[in-house]
Amino acid sequence: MSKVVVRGISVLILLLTVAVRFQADRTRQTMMSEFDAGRGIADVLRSHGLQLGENPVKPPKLLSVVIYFQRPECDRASLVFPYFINAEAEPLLAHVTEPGFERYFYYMDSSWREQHRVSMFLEWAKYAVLDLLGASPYVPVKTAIVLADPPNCRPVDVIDWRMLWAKTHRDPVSAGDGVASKAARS
Amino acid sequence: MESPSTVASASIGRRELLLWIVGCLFANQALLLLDVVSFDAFAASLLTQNDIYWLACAVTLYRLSLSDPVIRADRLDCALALALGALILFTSFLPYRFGIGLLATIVALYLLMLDHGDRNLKAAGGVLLAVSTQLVWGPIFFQLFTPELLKADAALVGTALMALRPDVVWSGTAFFAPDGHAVWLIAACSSFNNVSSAVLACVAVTMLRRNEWVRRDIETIVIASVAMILVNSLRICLFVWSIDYRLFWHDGAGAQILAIAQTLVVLAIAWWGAAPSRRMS
Repeated sequence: MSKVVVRGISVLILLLTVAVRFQADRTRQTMMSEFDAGRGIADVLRSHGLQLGENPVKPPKLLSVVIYFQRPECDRASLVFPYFINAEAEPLLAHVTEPGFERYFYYMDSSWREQHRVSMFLEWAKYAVLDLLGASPYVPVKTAIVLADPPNCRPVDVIDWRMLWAKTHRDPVSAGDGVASKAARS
Repeated sequence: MESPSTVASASIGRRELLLWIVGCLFANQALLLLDVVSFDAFAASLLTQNDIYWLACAVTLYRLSLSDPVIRADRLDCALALALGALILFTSFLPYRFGIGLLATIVALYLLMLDHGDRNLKAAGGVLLAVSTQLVWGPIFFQLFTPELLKADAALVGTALMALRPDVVWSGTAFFAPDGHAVWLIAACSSFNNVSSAVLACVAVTMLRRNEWVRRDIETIVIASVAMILVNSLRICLFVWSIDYRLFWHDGAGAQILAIAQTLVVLAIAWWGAAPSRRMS
């Protein structure tokens, strides 16, 4: 193939790919910076009329991100801990809970009774691909949450945690409507 | 009618074509590793770069540039270049490292398998494979085995602290000092990242100094990896020792000192391992 043609195509591909990637990266950074897990969790809890508690641990400590809230039917506070899906949540969770606490891990429209990093990674990959096509109902950030309820606490109110990642997060009332399964409801 | 020599000089050389492909891959990778939103962000992101990674990229380009300039690109080379160009364009819509890292692996395997006896191409392929491993395959492996790797790190640190600080309580991947200071190991604490960088450093430095492997290079990689694990264990021991130490070595200037020390140690071991005199022994 001729040198001139190949060089021309190469320069074109180089400039085009760098420009497209630059734009895609900026969009992703904007999306990441706008996603505030703490504020999102607080919004979800408030939308269910639940009262938030105060976290005695302050930044920069890792556990300062834990959000406490009081269910009316329970005598002790429940908590929600947002974490990076690859992080080991169990050791940190053990420090803020006691034996007997019921734990539920949530990530987008799935939930687990134990931390499943690989399942969460696959879930993220699925929505990251869908997001490219503009078909993801969720913001594909790698932040999951774990909910811990105290022993003998039988929650009456069903919290739809999918709202946390939903793109319509700013409007919690419409966010959870018919998005997916009931897996992410507690 | 054109003579064969005229055709040859007008057609693109294999070396130049491969340099275009790898250059395009690296330019796209750079965008994922550098923050180019503003000048300040760019300057800040430069300070946090893995120098060993960039050294490896430079070595890849260096070895490619030393490959045979006479050989012309054949149809397979041109087909690969076109396919890769399309795939790079497709993956540029993905703001994640996986896509471009996967393509780097494909190019690396192409260089390793179709080197036509050119040792510089083979050397470039080896370094590019190590680069793509650092970018993609290492993090995926780490994702799958994070708890196990963290437990191994904790076992090393815990064993050392049992001798040095018996008052520190070690539980799983957590350490509790009697004064209430506690440290939990998380993914970022793992020595896996350091080992990955150690392997990359050894591959890059070895292929910088020569274009073939010898059996003793494996020893160098093992020594560098063990050194990185020990330095990381020492680092975690310092975090656990006291809150003041943690503030300095984790959040303060100590973090930079440790990072520079680790880089220098691994580069020194890699340089020593690739020395011609050692190779002859």
